[in-house]
Amino acid sequence: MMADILIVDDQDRYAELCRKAIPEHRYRGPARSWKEASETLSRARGRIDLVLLDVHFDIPVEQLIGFRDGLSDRELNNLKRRQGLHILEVLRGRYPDLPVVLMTSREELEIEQSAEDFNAEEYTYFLDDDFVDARTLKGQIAGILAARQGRDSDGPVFWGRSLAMRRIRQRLSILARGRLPVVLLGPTGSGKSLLARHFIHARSGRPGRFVAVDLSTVPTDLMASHLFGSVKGAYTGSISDRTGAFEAADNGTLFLDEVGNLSLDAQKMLLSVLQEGTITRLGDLKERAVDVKLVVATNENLAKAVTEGTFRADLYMRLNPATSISLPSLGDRALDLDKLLQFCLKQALQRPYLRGLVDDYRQVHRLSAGPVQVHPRGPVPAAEPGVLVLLFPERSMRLFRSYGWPGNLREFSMVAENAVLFALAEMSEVTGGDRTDVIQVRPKLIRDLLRAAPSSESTQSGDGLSFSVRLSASDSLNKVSVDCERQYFVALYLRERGDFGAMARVLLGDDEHARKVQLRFNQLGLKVRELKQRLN
Amino acid sequence: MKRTLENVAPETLGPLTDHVGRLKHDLGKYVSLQARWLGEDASTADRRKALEADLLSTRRGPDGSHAATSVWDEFRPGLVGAGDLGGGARADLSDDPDLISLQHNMAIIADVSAALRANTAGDEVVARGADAALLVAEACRSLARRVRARGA
Repeated sequence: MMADILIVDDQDRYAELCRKAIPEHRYRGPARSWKEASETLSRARGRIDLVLLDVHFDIPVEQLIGFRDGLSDRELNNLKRRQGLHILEVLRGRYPDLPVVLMTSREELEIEQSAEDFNAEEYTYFLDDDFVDARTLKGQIAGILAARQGRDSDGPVFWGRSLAMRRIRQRLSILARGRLPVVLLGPTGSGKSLLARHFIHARSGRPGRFVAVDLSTVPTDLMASHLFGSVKGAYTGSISDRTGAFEAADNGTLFLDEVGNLSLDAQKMLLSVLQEGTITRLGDLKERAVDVKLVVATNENLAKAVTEGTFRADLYMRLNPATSISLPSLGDRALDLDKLLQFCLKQALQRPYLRGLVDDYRQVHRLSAGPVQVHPRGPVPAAEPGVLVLLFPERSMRLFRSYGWPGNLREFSMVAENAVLFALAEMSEVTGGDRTDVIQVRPKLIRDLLRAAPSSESTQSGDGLSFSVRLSASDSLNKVSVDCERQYFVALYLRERGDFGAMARVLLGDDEHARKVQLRFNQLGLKVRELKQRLN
Repeated sequence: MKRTLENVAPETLGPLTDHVGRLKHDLGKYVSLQARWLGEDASTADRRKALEADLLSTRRGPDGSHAATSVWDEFRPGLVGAGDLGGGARADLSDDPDLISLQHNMAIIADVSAALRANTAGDEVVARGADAALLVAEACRSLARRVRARGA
């Protein structure tokens, strides 16, 4: 695999050697200072795969970064000797998971300390320049790139290229290894559960199980026994000893989804686990030690729940809210949609039913076996033997981008998968044609799928009124119209403080028609008594 | 008293560490860079080319190309008590084993460089130059390591 490698070095020699000894990659640079390096990185717009960074920069003082005012000659020399580390620090801030190979011997610097200072140990590698040879460097670059490719595509977690997600990834990889709880915040479908299972637990280094509990599905009175276990007879219907989720996740990870639903009793017990590291089954006196990495997720504002008294302040503080991770909604990741589409479909195409459909399609059109490539936007690629192309024209992608995705990643992957399913079905009925190896996912199909999405929201506003209309594909026009009218009436009623005359003036141009408005109000099934309570 | 690193005054260790650090960066790192990258089965022509790059263009940057001998001439005075290391500090390491090795091998490199420039370097001269370059790199590393250890 050819990679784009930026060399940041005050000398030409390494760049020359790389070009000569490892010609399979494309090299940029050498950039001789941070200024040059940052310019190259900006121009490359995320296409740099790896940075080879020297540590000692013998360059003019004005090109150095780091505090240099009033420094003695010796201190300036020291700044030059460690300039690469200053560059690394800035690089880490802007490109958190860009792999950087520091070209220096480990013993030359207090490397471990420096790496920790820069919060960069995960993506920073060392090339011992005292003994390096072409084969070593070649092997190291290949290993880093392979690991990076693996990380970008491993499991069902999609990271994309946005800086926000890269930062989240870096923070999570640090938090995953520690003992403190992790709080994941984010809208539904944004991938909290996937992150907990496939990233945090996978990187925690814990040999135990991953146990997930969705607290929104556990009845309040069973919550404590579900989490902490119970002994026979602890409560009515408790016919045997029961192991709770904490014990099941001992030495592993426990993921508590919708933690805002935790009952106050269970909150108290959870606090005790976090403080003491022990649990006591319901009805038991014996304390049991548990070592669990706790990950909690919520879509609610826990801080607000604390002020409202529904969530314990001491538990909230124990959950380490300062390091909570907020996942962006898909609507905030529009730049990632092309990659996300490829990512989702790559996974979907591994499922037997979709693979079977693809095989059927190949058979009908007498196409040989081979890979399926997903092309977001055009143009139609040249035909390659065995390659089946799923082409999403620009207009289809535009529909994806303009949609709000209230169901986030979950909704996106479903729509993308359905799009392929229906496109395959449509095309299987068509025989002949020039390019049967290209399956176009047409805008009309996407439009239909988005219309049929479980919820689509639109906002109407006028004269200071705004309300949302929830539509469903199975709704009749009459239902949509009545829903819309009903909400308009409610909004108007509230604005006019329950004055039907004023409403009639707005709706019919004459407040004499108040009675007519009230009749329609009743026909729409609206209850004046309930609305009056809202006014109060 | 022997003029070795062990006898350098403590207050001189700071400037000396800087000086030796730069020596390692400017000379030790590059003096046998290409030769080191060559496999054992490299041809004589490749070895000669690599040695020419290492010895005659040891440092290469925007300010041009500098031979190993000229880089050494820049640093040598500071190591034999003939140059100011900064703030009036001086260090004489003339009896230090690493400096003796550096002086000896840099003298060989000066001869080999002249032969390379005159295009008279035979296989034996090339091999001698490559060995000397390796030893210079090793001496730079060793000296830098020892200076850091003493200053720590």
